[in-house]
Order: sequence, then structure tokens, then C-alpha cells
Amino acid sequence: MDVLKQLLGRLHPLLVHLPIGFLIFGLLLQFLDRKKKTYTQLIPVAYFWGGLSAIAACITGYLQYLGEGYGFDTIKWHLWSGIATALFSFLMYFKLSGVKNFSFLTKVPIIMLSTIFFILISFTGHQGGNITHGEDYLVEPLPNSVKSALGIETFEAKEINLTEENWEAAQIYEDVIHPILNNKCVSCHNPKKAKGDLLLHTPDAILKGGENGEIINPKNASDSDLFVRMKLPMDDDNHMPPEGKTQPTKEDIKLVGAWIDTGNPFEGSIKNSGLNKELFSSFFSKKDNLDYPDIEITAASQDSIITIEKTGIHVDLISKSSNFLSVSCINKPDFTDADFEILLAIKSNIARLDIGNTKVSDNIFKKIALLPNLTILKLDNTSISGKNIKEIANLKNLKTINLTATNFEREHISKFSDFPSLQNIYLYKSNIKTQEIKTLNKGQISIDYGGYELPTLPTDSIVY
Amino acid sequence: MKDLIDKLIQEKLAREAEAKTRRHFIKNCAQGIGGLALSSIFAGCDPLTTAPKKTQAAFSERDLNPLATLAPPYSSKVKSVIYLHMAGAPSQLEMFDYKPELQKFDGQDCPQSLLEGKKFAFIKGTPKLMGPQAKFKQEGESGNWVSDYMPHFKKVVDEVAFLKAVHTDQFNHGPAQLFMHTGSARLGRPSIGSWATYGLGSANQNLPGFVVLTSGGNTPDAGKSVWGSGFLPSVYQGVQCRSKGDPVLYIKDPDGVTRDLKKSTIDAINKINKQEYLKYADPEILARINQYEMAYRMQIAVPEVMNINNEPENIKQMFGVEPGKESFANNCLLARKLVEDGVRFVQLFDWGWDTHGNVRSGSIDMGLRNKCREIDRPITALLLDLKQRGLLDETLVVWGGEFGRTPMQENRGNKKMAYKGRDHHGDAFTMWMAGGGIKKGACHGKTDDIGFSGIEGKVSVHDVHATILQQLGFDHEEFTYEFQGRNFRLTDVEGEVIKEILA
Amino acid sequence: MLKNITNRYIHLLFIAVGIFLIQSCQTSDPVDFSTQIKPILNNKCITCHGGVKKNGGFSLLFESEAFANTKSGKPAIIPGDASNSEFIKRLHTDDPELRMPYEKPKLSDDEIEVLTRWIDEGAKWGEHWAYSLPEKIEIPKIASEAGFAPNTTTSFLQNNIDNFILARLESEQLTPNEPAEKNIIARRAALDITGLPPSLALLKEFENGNLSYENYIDSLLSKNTYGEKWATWWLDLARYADSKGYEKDQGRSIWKYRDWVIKAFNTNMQYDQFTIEQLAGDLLPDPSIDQLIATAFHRNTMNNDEGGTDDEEYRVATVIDRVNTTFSVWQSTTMECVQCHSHPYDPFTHKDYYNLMAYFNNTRDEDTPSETPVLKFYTPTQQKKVDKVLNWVTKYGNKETLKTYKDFLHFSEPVYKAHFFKEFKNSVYDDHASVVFWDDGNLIMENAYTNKANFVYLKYKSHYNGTKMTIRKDNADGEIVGEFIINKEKYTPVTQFPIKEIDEKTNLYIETQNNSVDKEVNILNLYWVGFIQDIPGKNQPGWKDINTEFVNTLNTTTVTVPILAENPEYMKRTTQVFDRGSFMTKTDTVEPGTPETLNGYNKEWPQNRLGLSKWIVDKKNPLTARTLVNRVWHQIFGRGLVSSIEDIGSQSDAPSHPALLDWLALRFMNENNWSIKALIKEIMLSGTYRQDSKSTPNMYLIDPENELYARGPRIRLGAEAIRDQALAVSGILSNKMYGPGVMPPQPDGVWQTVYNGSKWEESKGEDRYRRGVYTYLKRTSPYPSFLTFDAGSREVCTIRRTVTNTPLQALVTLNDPVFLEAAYQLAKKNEVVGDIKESIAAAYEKATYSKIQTSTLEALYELYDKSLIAFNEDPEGTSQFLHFDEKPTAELSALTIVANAIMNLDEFLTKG
Repeated sequence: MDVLKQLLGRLHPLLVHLPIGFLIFGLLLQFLDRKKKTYTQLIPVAYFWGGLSAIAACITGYLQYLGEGYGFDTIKWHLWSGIATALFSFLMYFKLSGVKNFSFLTKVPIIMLSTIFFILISFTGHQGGNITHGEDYLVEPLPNSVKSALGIETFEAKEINLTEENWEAAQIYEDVIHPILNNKCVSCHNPKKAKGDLLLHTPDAILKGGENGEIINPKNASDSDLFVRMKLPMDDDNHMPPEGKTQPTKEDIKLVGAWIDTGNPFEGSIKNSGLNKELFSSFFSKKDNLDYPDIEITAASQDSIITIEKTGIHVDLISKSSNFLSVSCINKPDFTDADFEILLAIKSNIARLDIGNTKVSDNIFKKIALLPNLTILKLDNTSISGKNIKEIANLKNLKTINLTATNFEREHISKFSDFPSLQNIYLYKSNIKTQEIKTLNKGQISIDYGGYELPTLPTDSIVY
Repeated sequence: MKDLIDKLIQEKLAREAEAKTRRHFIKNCAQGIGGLALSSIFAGCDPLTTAPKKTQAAFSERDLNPLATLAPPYSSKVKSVIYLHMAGAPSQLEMFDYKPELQKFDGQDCPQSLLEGKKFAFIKGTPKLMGPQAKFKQEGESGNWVSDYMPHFKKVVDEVAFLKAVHTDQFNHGPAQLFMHTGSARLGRPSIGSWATYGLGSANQNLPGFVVLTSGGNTPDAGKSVWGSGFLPSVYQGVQCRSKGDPVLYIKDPDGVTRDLKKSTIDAINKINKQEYLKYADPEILARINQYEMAYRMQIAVPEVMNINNEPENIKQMFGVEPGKESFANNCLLARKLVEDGVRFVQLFDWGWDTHGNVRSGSIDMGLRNKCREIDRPITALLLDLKQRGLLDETLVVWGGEFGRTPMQENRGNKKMAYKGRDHHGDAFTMWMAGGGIKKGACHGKTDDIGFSGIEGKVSVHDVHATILQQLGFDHEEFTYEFQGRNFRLTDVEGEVIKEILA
Repeated sequence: MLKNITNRYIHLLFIAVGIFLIQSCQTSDPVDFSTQIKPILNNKCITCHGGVKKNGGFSLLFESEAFANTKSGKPAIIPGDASNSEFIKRLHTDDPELRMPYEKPKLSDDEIEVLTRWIDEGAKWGEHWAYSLPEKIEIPKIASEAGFAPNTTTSFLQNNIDNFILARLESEQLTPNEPAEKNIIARRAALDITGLPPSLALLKEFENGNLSYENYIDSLLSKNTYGEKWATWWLDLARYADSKGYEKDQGRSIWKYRDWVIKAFNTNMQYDQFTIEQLAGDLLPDPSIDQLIATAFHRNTMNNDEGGTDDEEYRVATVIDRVNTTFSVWQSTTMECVQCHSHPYDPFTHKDYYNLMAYFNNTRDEDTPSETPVLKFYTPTQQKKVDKVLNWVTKYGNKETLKTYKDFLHFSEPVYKAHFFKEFKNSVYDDHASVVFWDDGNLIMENAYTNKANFVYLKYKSHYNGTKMTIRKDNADGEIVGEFIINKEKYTPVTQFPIKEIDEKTNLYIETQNNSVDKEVNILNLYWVGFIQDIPGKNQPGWKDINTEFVNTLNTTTVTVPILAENPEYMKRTTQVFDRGSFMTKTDTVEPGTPETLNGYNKEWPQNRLGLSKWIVDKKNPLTARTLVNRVWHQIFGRGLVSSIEDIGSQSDAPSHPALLDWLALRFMNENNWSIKALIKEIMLSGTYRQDSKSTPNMYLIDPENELYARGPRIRLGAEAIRDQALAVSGILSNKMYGPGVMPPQPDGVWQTVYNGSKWEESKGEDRYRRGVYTYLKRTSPYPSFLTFDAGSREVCTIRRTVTNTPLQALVTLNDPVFLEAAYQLAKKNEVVGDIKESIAAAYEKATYSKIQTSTLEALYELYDKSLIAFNEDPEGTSQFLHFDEKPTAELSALTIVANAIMNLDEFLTKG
């Protein structure tokens, strides 16, 4: 029995299309037929079958509601309008098939009925759609601009991307405060569900406040609910956002506070807000100090990784959140230029290459040049002299080269200035005696020759 | 909004999945003989293509080598950690936390308001305040304060980020050290090093992943449990490498047994064990084969890395090492060597910082100076040496004790003590971090005028742990281990990453 | 026209009505809470709606909470009406802020469907299987031998256990292995029962059939080595160690308890008795010495002697540990969580914890360095004097006085310890259990009760002569209770001084005067103050001598063991709930009580530890027997029937063979009358246990953890067993039993603990070769090779030793001198002069109990050859290598190398 019930229930999505079909067809005929009445016989039939199938739809619909346990609130409109549609179709049927008993029908102009009917059907249909596909299913594909134009609020997480360069110019509200509120608060304080009658999606709304009045007391964060509620300890009932919801970081809160204290400006840049850099530094994007290029790439094949690791070369994912690899010969000191070939199978995944303490020669650079995404290169404790170093000047992601304890020659240093994004070079214990070139490319590249010393101090020998 | 949530959910799921089943099929089964054994057993050593899908679930690289590396959930620069623990608790007031005001109150009774509801280990009645016994200067571009107890340190002051208002709720050495290293004052929890090695494994297959070095003539008060693995498998506990005797217990071959002989022995053992596997198909046997291989390699690698004699003179001089002795300087140099060789977590304990003023060696104005001198040069050298080798960017160096010391002079037994001393104090003390991902020259947190408690940027021990884990690529809230039906975390239910000191 | 329409119309109605009828008279078997609902709730809901977090004021931990009103004011679950239950609505909605689980993926349709049905069926709350024990279990009938050859079945079906196992195997279409070879099963059983390989004599008897398998098992169970092996397991649970733990980690003399456990196993003490004596032996009527020793179980808690620690804080810590340990050991329940908040998923409340704590909160031990109360073991001569006193007391006194004197002579309690004294003036508590008095020193003892005694007993160390001590009522001006002179003492005596009789609780003021000494100089250390009613029969002749005899015996030093002793009424502590588990913030006062979820508490039982222990071993307790059975099974098969042996509860793994678990539990309590030997025997007689442990890669893939038991157990030996076995097969294992922990050779410098002079003094003679269970265990640095093989440091209760496999282990068995000596002995004893292959084969068989295979022999012979060459080239090395042999030969050296290899074979290190 249960099974049958469920089965019928699940027929609903299928059945509903019958009434829609019939009835629309009916309305269509009516429209075409408004001048020369040739289909008068036909139209009622359409409505009659429409009505029948509508009833079937209603029943199956009801079963589905029971079976899949939708909340009643979710479906009530659809349910009632569905039933209404069913009845209405018979009403139309009776009217058009001119049944005498329902004489009152004759008084109402058919055109009006048809229009109401059309609206009713579309409404019912739409409701159904919402239940199965979700409220914003229809409008989802629309670009946000259009959506907001349509008055449909959108709450995609807004990223805060400040950098050393742009932070002063960035808009204090639009680029920082708004995203914070948007990501942490607006999901509950928005036109759809205005918890505590409070909206936080627009400046006006924020200034308007909620059921307990205004939430900002200008230039006084400690007396502004917007700030205070977030600052309250987690276990305090008044703490916002409620326990279990995504919480703002302490930096977020601090910033909102500071923003209120400067009179919560909605316009203007961070610079003219006068707030100091410290408040924002934690929002600066960390992208530029990653150990790998900031791009998405496909994962390397496990087979090739297995094959490579069989030779004793160590291969690791740099992190589970990226497909870049770190390759190291820590367990393979006998690695030579020839062994490099095997790495080409994963060449675009290699971001970090450690072939320090191996037997590689200067010919290795030709091959290293084949690793487009190489970011960190360790060649320390090898016999490298650097004569082919320019071979890898093409590596646009290369940030660090470690040449500690190599035979690197002074004459090759200048070649580094052709390296697009190089930042650090380590030349401790290389063949370079003088250290006059400390930076290249206007300080973009810094060179560390090491050789630090700690001269003896008199205190070193005083024992108390 | 909806798709945002979905995205978050997807990511979370992926991570949880990974965290739960750390089993992913054997990547490199070709480690020496052990591997060859495997490869011969699983046609071409490629379970993915040959063996049924289930292999992936049934076998993991970790079944064969519990220290096999795993990628961190999030990107991180830090590959290794060097944790310098001054066991006994150094006095922040004579080293980094300069309190000129305290000087003014020197010799005056400590205000009752401060003492109310506080528990001290030894202080009784109303103690007197004691001004800083060291002279301070602002050093480097950062202008952070360093005392004349640490004359060399100023050279690297711009490399480190200070935490001036760390607090702990433990005020006895044992529990406080446990808390500092396992996140709990009670026994039975894994130490940070164990968490790190468990979560990341260790790349170098000839060395332990988690090495502990002690100096000062004693192991820490809380004993070996400060580097224990708690409820994690014991393979993740710290391996104490000793600068006297065998660096690792039983690593030395018996007298009269040559390397070749040991090799033949292990070859024979593994040969027979392989036959054993064909009979019982128990992966434990394969693991054993692997472990004997590694043991053999360790016997060469460990004494090598633990030998500082063949380091160049200038380096020895810079660290101020005394070969053959057990000294903090030696351990600092060893720490660098170990990190250079890919050891994941190096833990240094230096004992003898408990300056109560009851004995000369435990006095603020003498004993403490000597201890400071013993660490000043080595620590400075360690940071510089890591730097010049390009290792500082990928190594996180942490310095601290288990708590701090009181602004009051200790009056044990309610009388004046033989020497100047300070009692245990957990309300506010100084730690610092340097290296990978740390903001150079930063200074977070502030204590009140007499350095009694934090007034700004207070951070807890859990926060410090959260930060260390974050630097290693973990979210401390997601990094859990299930034990007795519950998910345990290093940071228990607290902890917040200290963003202020991150680059 | 109208007519036929209405007809059609009616038709429709019929259909409609029909369908409604259909769905109204639907039938289907009702949802089962504990198997279908509870798992979903635990995995998907309880983290936010459980014992810790009750988001939205909604919790699913207890029935009452689940149906109670939530923050919204309405209950989330409306029994019988799913579609109106917010609980269900929230699973459907699309609003990410409302949709539950919050920020987690939507529940599957099936999950939602079953939850919905559950509520529509009235949301019946059920109990988790772990919290109720069925009365009877049917032994499964084996479905026709279909599937595999009868002979396999018959050889497999040895006793009822096998029916349960086979039933599951059949359902998985698997066939069990053949029985293992005799030599294999003999070794396996011996290692499991005695922790040692069998003696050759016994093995022969069994192999040539003179001894049936059952008799073989019996004779193993009758050996003393059985107790030693199983004690090793119990001592992990009891967190037994020879030191106190924490910073100083001073030694602790508690080995008498270890010996008690060994004896208890060997005499096969019933598990219920075993339980009661350890938890409450001291509360039994007129307890025997052994029953007092048993209570040392809970004195294995750590003791913090670190300077400046608050004794009360660490006393509470031990009490907390006792609650947790009791529940981990007997109930497979993690109570730790409940210390701070109600249990996140098991039905235990925050308050439950403190009710339980109340049982343990009234013992005399108070984290003092002396670890009192410690039970004294008098020498026969001393005992005579003790008896003399006690006879006198029996003669002239009553039962009560007799108990008082027995206790005081056995463990000098009850007394008021120094850390309780208050209002120090010219005196100070020295953080080491004594108060230091200066001249004019004084302090207050708050509401002390003197038992109407005419004497006070003081334990002190006096550094000067002629110190006048005055005891007054209330304060400095109070009535003088006692006044006497204390002189310089070499030791720390317990001395008796006369006082006035008082019959009420009162504050006592104690003061010292010694003008011959400068200010702020330590005149004397006072450790404790005790009052016990006088020895009766005062007016009888000879009373004086008895009294002196009594005081003298108090000052004898003897072997001791820490024990539990209950507070007398006038010293009772009240127990309070700790807010969020912090002992600094105490709230409501609570009485002893047991969790409601479990079995009821019989009014007959006293509200103390004795009652608690009876409650634990009550046959209605659903967890006690299951826990024991499950863990014994784990010891033998390396996997529990519930694989999470630490936890049997809502969050534990489902049992692999639920019925078997319950059947064994019931049988253990009823038919077998709590006999552990019987349980072990039953398991060992099963065909399941006797199977060959062979497997295939494919079989491994089907059942990696062998939870279906289609093959025999195969596990690496435990730390102690590995060493014991090596010593045994090389014939140097000592069979000496009992006594203080021994210190076999270990590398120098392993022991390094602060403020602790104690050294590792290498044992002499046979003590170097004792079984592992007797090895001295210092918590801060346990015997290194045991640590390497996963033995714990026993600071807290260890339920499972996670078996690991590391290079450090290889280094131990390859290089540890102990194993080298064993190898040497193995080689020497099996050397067949002139026939190397014979020698190797002999040594191999001696070690592994199997005939050597040619391939193995070849491999080992090759190794011998290489070694021989090496040693011949280097006679110097030979003598170094065999330094313990008078005239070492290259041959013997080479054989030793081979023996060393044999002792490193997986086959040797594993019980297969």
C-alpha cells in the first residue's frame, strides 16, 4: 500500500503537465476561435479533460506531500491554487458546454473568466516549480544587475581583495564594510527574512535599524548594537550572529567598530576615512606569497607519480587545496641530469623543485626551463656554476632560487635581472667573494650572500 | 548565497573525507627491498590499475610507512618547526618585556588588589615588587625592546614577532609544560610535534620525523610525555636524540659487527619475511620489511646528522658549540642540520630557568644572566644560519617557557630570600616566533605598567597552538583524531589564530 | 448530456476516494529507533543538538529534551504529525539559513523518509542496545551445510561460539580456514594464556596425542605464568607503575598490588569479587589484609610532589581520575566529557558525574608526599607486639575501638594533615606536607574533633631542645588543652602527648615557644595531628606497657602499600558540582548516585564505594560483563566484537557479532559464574580460534581486519611478551615471581628526572632475566624497549596499546644487548658440533616451534657463511662481539648472528 501511495505520489510531477497542456490548449483555441466559432464543440472537451487530469494531479500531489513530508507552509499555496484550478476548469467546461443549471455563469463575460483562469494556471504552475526547484530557480540565471533591477536581492559572498597597492584607494564601505556585513549578516537580515525587522543589505537599511531602533550611534561603536552585539561573548544570548552561524573574525569586528567610530562613512576611500592600515592588513590577499602560481591546473596522473616515486624521488601535493606538486630528491642524492626526464610527465604541476645535494650539472637548466609553473628552485650543495642560468629566465613564476654552497660565479649574477618575478637569491658559500650587488631590478630581487658572523663580546665570557 | 553555501559545503566535505580516511593507495612502494618485495607481489606495484578498486581502501602508503608524507589541507610555506622551550620558565621582565614603571615601585608592597583571588606557587602574604634587573634598549628597525642579558639577539630582533601577553592557567611546571605542548594540563594527549608528524609525515626516510634534544642536565619537569604521542600511535612520538651516548637508543651496531654484516642480516630477515608474506598475505609483514630497511638506513643517517664536528669552524664559532658536550648551543646547530635534512619537527628543551632566588643559580640577577648567555648566541646564530641558507622562510621557530614570572620578588616561607627571585606567573608572559609566514619585527600584545597582566592583545596557549598549526597548513578546528568515540583537537574547544603576527 | 457527465464525475470520485482509502489503511513494519533513527541523529544532528550545544534550545540527547519546547516556544517534534514538525520541515526548506543540518549537505531522501515515518508513527523513543542487556540469546542454527564441504564445518564447529561465527560467515558466503597445525596452535594458545611459548615437554605430550587439546589448554591455564600474562593486561587498565608521576616522579612502593593481581588471576578469583575488592575492599566487613591491598587499584593515581602545588587541587584530580578510570575499566564509557558538560552523545548528564564523584570523594589520601594512608606489613616479631595491643583492646574495648586501633596500627589514619592548618603566624606551610614553626609560631586547626581522647599524637621533626608547645581552644586566649615540651629528634617520630578531654568539634590553636632560638629559624616541622580514643582498660594493670608498646609500634618502619581508607563521619567531605568542570568554581552540593540510564540501585546497597561496586557487578548492569568479554576477546583476537573496546555506547562501532557478545556476557555471569579462566577456555576451544591464520591478498581485501573470522588471529606480540619469549627460547628466563620491580640493563642516561636522585641500579643475578611484568616502571621514563614496542607509561588508564611497526623496534631486537645475549644463548645451546645446517635448523625450531623450510635454511646458511668469513677475517671483532664468552669462536659468532636474525623474523615476533 505504502509503495503504491509513494509511487502515485511521485507521478505528480509527471501528471501536472497534462492539465497545463489541456487547459492552455483550451485557452488557445478560445483565442483563435473568438471570431468564427468553428471549434465550439472542441473547447469544452479540452477543459473537461483538463479538469479530470487536474484532479488526478491534485490527488497525486497530496500523496506526494504526505509521502515526502514537505512542510505544509511550503506547499499550501500550490495545493489550494491547484484545487482551485481543477474546479475552475470544470466551471469553464460547464460555461462553454452551456449547462443550464449553472445559469449564473452566463452573466460573467467569458473573456474575463479566461484571463483569471490563465493567471491561476500560471500561478499554480510557478508555485509547483518553486517547490521542486527552489524559490529563486527561475531568476537564478539572470545576471545580478538584472536581478537587483527586478528587486530580487542577491547575496553572493563578496570577496574583499585589498593589497599593499590598492588598499588606500579602495572604497571603505563598498569594498570592505559591505562585504563583511553581506557575508556574515545579510543571510538573515535581508528583505526576504528580516530577522528582528533589521535589514543590513543597504546603507539606508543599516541606518534605519531594526525593531529595537537604530543600531548605529555615530562615532560611538561601544554604544552601537551593530558592533556591540558582535562583540558580546559567544554564550551571551544577545550575541550576533547566533551560535552555529558563520562568525565574523575578530578583525572583522574590530574594523566595523573602528568604522562606526569614524562616523560610519558610506562613501569615500579608506584613505579619506582616515582609518589606519593595521586595521586592514589582515584582509590583504595572501596570494602573492604562495609557493605556487595563483592559477587552477589539472591534477597530475597518479600513475606517473607512482613511476617517479619508484625511482626514489619524493613527490608531494603542495596542499590538498591545489594540484601543484613539490618534488624533492631528499632521498635520492645520486640524482643526475639524466634522471630529470622522468619529471617531464608532471612538468606543469611542479611548483617546487628541490634538487639540492645531488649530482646535477649546469646542463640541468635547459631542462628546468621546461617547468612552466616552477616557483621555488633549490640547487644548493651542487656543482652548479650558473653558466647556463639564463636558460630559465623564461620561468615567469620563479620567485626563489637557492644556490647555497655551489660554484656559482659572480659574472652570472647580472643575468638574474632578466627574470620576470624573481625575488630571492641565496648565494651563501658560492664562488662569489665580493658582495656589492645586494639587489637587482630596483630592489625587486634581493640577494643573500650570508656569511653572517657574531663577533665575540666581552659579556660572552662573564660568568655570574 | 545558495551557491556560496554549496561551495563551502563541497570544500568542507572534501576535507572531512580526507581527514577521516587517510588511506590512499600505495604511491611509492619501491622503497628499497621492501618496495621491490611489494612490486613483485602486486603485479608491477600498481594497485590502481591491477588490483581491484578495493585495494585503495584496504591499503595505504601509511600501512607500510607510518611516516609517509601527507599534503596539508591548506597551502603553507612552513616545512619544519623548531620549538625552543626554556624549561622552568624564563623571566620576561628581564628579557623582552620592559617595564620602567616597575622600577619606580621597586621594594614597595604589592597592591592587595592584584593578589586577590590569585594563586601563587610559593609567594606568601604580601610580597614586594621588584624592578627589572636588566637594562633595556630598543633595537633594530622594529624598535622592539631587548635587554642587555641578550646582547647578540638584537642582531635578529627584526626577524622575530613578539607575543607580549601570552597567558596560561597553570602555575606549576609539570602541568604547565604539558599544557604548553599537548594543549591539556592532564596526561594522555598528543604533543604538538606528534600532531604535526601524524598530520604531515616526514619526507626524509632515513630520519625520524619528530626529534627531541634536551640540554641543561635534565629532561623537562613533565617528563617524556611533553613529546609523547598520547592517544596517537606511538610511532608519532618524539625520538629523543642524545648528544651523549648513542644518539638514538640501540642505533649502534654491536661491537664486532660490520655494516656489511648488518646488511646481510637484514637481507636475510627480509628475504624470509617475504616468503612469510606470500603465505599469510598480512600487510604488517610488508610494513616490517619496510621498517627493517629504514632501520638500516637510519643507522647511517642519524649518527651522521648528529655529528657536528665536521661543521666549518666559523659556524661552530657562530653557534659557540662545544662538541662532545650536551649543550644548548650544540642542540641549536643540530636543529639546523636536522631541518636541513627534512626533519618535520625539532623540539629543544633547555632546563634550568626556574629562578626563584633560593639558590645562586636560580637568581634573577646572576643565574638567569648565565642561562641567557647560554642561549643568546646559539639562538641568534640559529636564526642567521637558517636565513643565509634560505631555510628561514620554510621553518617556523618558536621560543618560550611554560609560563612567566611575577613582577613581585619571591618571599618563600614568608621571609626574605637569599637571592633575588621571581615566582611562577601565568597571567602574562612573552613568547616569540620567527621564520615561515611570520611578520618580521612585529610585536603583539601589551602588559600593564608592572607587567602583571595583559591589557592588549592577550593570547592563550591554545591561540599559540592554533597559529603553529595554521602555519603548517592546518585549520586547528578541522584537524582532529577520533578516540573513544570523540574527535579530539590539539586546541580542544578553543584557540584562535593570531593573525596579527602573520605576514 | 449532463447525465453521462455526472456519471464520469462519479467515476472520478470513486477513484479519488479509493486512493484516499488506500493511503489511509497503509501498513508497514514500524521504524526501529535504536537501529534506524539514533544513528542518523548521532551522526547528523547531535553535535549541535546534543549534550554540549543545544542550538535553538533543541536537543536530541534525551527523550524529554527532544519533545520539549524549543526557543521558538513550540516543540520541534510533534509525534504523529511529521508535516507539522519543524524538525522535518527544516530538512526540506531551501533557505540555507534554515535548512538543517546547517551548512552540511541535505539528508538523503531515505533518511528524511525514515525520520518522517518515525514521527508519523508516533516518534517512539527507544533505548540504545548498549544500555539494555537481553535475558536470553538463542544460539543460531547452522543453515544446512550448503555452501561448503561438511568436513570443514564439522571440524570448524567446536562449540557454540562457532555457530555465531559461522552464521555470519555463511551470510557472507565465506568458508573458514582449516584448523591450524598442532605445533602452531600449541604456540598460539601458550602465548595467549601464559605469554610464553609452551615447554617442550608439554608440547610433546600434546603433539603425540597423550594430551587432548582441551587438557592442553587446562594445563596452560593452571600455570602461574597465566597470572603473570593476564596481570600485564589488567595493570595497563589499573595504570600500575612504580613511581608517582608528575615532575618529581619519586618512587612508589605499590608492587604488593601487582602481586595481588597476579594471584587473583591464578586463583581465578570471580570477576565480581575481583571488582568489589579493588573498588571497596576496605569497606568490606572486617577486611583481610589482601582485601586492603586490592584497594591499591585506585591508589595507582598519580601523586604530585612538585613544590608549590596545591594538594587539594591534585587530590581532586585523583578523584576525577578514579571516576573516569572506573567507568573506562568496567563500563566502556568515557566519563571525561561529562566532567565539564552533559555527554555530547551518550545519555549521561553533567550531574551524573558528580553523583559518581561523591562515591570516591571521601578517602583519606590527600596528595601528600608520604602517600598516606599506606598499609604497613609487620615482620612476625613486630606482628606479635601488634597482636598484643589488639588483644588487649579486644578484651577491654568494643568493636569500634578495635577497628580504630587496627586502622591506626595498620595505616595511622585518621589524622589532620598540615596542609589544613590556617592563620599562620611565625609559622608557614612548607609545601612539603609539614608546617614550619618559628619562635612564637602559632596557627589554627579548624573544627577539629578530638574523640574525647586524653592524648594527642603528633608526627614532627624537631631541630632544637626545649620547645614548648601549647594547644588551646579557639585562639591565643583560649582555655589550655595541652602543654608540653618537645626536644630535638633525629628522626620523624609519632609521639603521644597528654591533653584535656573535649567532646565537641572546636578550633584548636597551636603555638610554639623557644626563646633559645633566633627569630625566623625553623624550630620544628609538624606533619600531622591525630586524636584517637584512649586504649580501653585504663585502670587495668599493664595498661601503661600496652600503651608504650602501641606508641613504639607506630614508630616501626616496614614495607608498605598505599590503600584506600574512608573518612570517619566527622571528617566527611561534601561533594559539589564543578561549573564547567573547573574545581575552582563549585556549585550545587550532590549526594552519591548512579546514572539513571543504567541499571537501578538496590536499596540494600550502602551509598558508598561498596554499594557502587555491587551496582557495577549487578547482573542487571548492561555493560560490565559485555566490557570484560569484549576486551578478553580483543586480547586474543586482536579485535573486539565491538571494535571500539574503549567505548560501548551510542557512538561505538556496531558489534560484528551482536548476539555472540551478549551470549558470552550472559554465559560469563550465569553459567560460568564470573570465571575468567572459563571464558578464556571457551574461546580457545572454539573452532574459530583454532583456525589456521593463513590468508590471501584477495581474502585480505574482503576482510582486512578479520572481523568475520574466516581465519585465525595473527598479531604481533606485546612488548613484554617479545622480551619474555626471547629469554624463554634461549633458556635464560627466570621463573622467580613477585617482589619489588627489577631493573634489567638499560642504556645509561635514560633516567633524567628533575629533583630526583634516584638511579637505575642494574639488578644482579636472575633478576636481570625476570619477566617483563616485574620490570620497574618509572612513569617519566619507562623501560625504553617496552616503550618502543607500544607499552605505555601508565600515567592514566590504558585500554588499548595501538600496535605500531617502526624502525626503532627493529633496532631494539637487532641491537639491544638483552636480545644479543638471548641470541648467543640460543645459538650456543642448539649448536650441533660439525653440522651447521643442523645447528641452524635446531635454533630455528626452538625459537619458532616450526620445522625449518629449505628456502629459509638456505637464506640463513648464506648469512652464516658471510658472517663466518667476516669474523674469521677479524678475530678482534669476534671477541668484542661475544665478550661474555670465555673463548669465543668465529663459528659461534656466526651462529649468534643467525640466531639474532631468527629472533627478528616476523614469524618469531608474531603470534600466528
